[in-house]
Amino acid sequence: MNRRFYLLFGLILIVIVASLFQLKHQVVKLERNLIVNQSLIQKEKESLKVLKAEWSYLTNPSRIEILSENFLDLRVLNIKQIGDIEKIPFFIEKNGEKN
Amino acid sequence: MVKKINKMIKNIIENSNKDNEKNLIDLSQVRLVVIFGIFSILFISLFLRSVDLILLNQTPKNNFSSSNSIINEKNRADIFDRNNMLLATNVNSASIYAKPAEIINKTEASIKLASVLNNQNFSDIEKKLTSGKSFIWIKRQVSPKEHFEVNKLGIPGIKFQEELKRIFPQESLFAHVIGSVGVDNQGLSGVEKKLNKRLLDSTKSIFLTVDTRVQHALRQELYLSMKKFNAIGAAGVVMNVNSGEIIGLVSLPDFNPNIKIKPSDDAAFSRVTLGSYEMGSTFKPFTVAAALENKVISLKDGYDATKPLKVSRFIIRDDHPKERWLSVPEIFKYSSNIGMAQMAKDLGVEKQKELLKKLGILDRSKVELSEVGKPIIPRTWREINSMTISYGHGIAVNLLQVANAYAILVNGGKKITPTILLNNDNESNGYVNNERVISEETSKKIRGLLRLTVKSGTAKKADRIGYEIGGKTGTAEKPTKGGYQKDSIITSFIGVFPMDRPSYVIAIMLDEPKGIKETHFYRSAGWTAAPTVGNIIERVGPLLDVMPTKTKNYWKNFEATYISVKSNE
Repeated sequence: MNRRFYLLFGLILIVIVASLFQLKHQVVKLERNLIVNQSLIQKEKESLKVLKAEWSYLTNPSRIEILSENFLDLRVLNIKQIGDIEKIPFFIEKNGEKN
Repeated sequence: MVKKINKMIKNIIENSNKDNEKNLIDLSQVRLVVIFGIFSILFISLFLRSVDLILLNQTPKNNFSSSNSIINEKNRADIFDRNNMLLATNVNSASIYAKPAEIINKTEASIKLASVLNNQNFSDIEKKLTSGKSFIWIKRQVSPKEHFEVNKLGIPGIKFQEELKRIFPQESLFAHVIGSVGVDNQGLSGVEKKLNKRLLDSTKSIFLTVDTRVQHALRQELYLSMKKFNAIGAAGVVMNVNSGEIIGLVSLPDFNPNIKIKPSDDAAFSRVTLGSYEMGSTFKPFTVAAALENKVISLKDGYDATKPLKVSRFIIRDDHPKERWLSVPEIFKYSSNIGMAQMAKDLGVEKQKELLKKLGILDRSKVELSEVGKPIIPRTWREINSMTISYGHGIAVNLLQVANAYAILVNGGKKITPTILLNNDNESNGYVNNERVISEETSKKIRGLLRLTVKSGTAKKADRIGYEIGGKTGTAEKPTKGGYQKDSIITSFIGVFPMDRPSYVIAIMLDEPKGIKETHFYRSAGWTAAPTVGNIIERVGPLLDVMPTKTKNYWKNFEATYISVKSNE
């Protein structure tokens, strides 16, 4: 009885110790992963900052103006071109309402 | 006998053995205790250490990531415009340093370094390397390309340190708003200097009231005018008349804040906020407003402007002489100094001073920029000062102050203070909108007079189809020691639009414009500054969400109320 109890106790101890070590190793592994990922995130953040700065640089109005002049068939907006939406005659819609 | 002896010996041995045995047991017990003691000490220390590691020692041991995160630590906050356009940020950049003791061939190293670094020559580098110091900077904050090239050279003793570099992606566009930052992360001018502490303490981004698109239009139009009239400088500001928010602020010539310049350089000087100038006729509305507000005159009154006015040793002349009696609206639209001087005399020194004070003309502007000049005002304010100040001479202020004063005159008379920070919910904003400087009625009249000047006065060239623009021109000779220079002038135009519901004031100034063939060699504000503002309004009106109108409602009402009696021109 007594001996069996000790045997069982010993067995449980071995299992617990073994699983604890297993857990510990997993934690260490995860932590290493975490560190790697954190540094990757950091790197991404830094490159995001650089990209944002580059975006701001590339979209600066004088550059856009030059690009638009060279590649687009657009002209500078004239004040005369701005009007009220009510003044546009939407014939089709009105007909639809009547029907 | 022998047996007896034998037995005795046996006994003795047995006894001694028994003694020995007892001794042995004692000894082993001591050993056991010692060993047990040692081991228990070891185990207790192991236990304590494990408790320490598991429960008490909470600091993460990831040195790898923390060494990489300088960008989060001593960071300057980013700066954005009102539409989330990035105006200033930090990026990692390498600085090159050398430990001369580790360099084998210093001359060769200098030649190699000079060949890949921009703006560095061989002899300077060699001088540094042979100076005998143990640590020297070769170049701070190099470009990624230079970093790569130097790394490729692989000279022993040449090393890199990661540093943060402040960069301004919009380059010179916001030179006089944002300013620049030195290599040691300290603001040198503009917002960067004024808010240096705030930018370093908190990583929360700062949003400015400026609009990149408006700023660009303003800068480009000013630049074109500056080149066209061969001026040495230009300045302009766009401001919301109801909130005091500065939408655009440009001073030319400007500089690229990514590249170091000397503070003494002309490009570093802000003509908008730092330079104080005699503004000339753009000052006239202030005295007219004070006179109308205090009921000294009405719009139907007038003054005799037939001949130059002689006051003690001064003679006051008109730039556009009409040589007849002029009504107040006429004095305004023809910009008559003679009429204004008489009006100032009737108004009195105190009342004129009081309004100028309330308009913020007499005090240093509180805008959040580091370069803000103090206005130059006469020490003793006599009647003659009051008369010259009525047409903008004998007092020097900066352009931003004038823009702010105009904003108050046209917004219905509510006091505002210029600001560059968006959502600036400090306590001042609350009472600002309640404090009244002039009455609604006076504000309406001033609006009418400003419109009149653009419609049929000195500023006709600012008029544009679509927007009802009002404004006042100013042409002033630059003062020198004991007098004025005839050949160098400052022209300015303060425009307001739209007149029926004023939203924005656009103030510009050209420094020493010259007459050109297109303007029949005239160089006054009506020919140089006024059309520039017209062009700017045409471009920025739609951007600022101001709906163009085809009717001239405001003007019609004004004319019917005030002018019809005297439109015998």
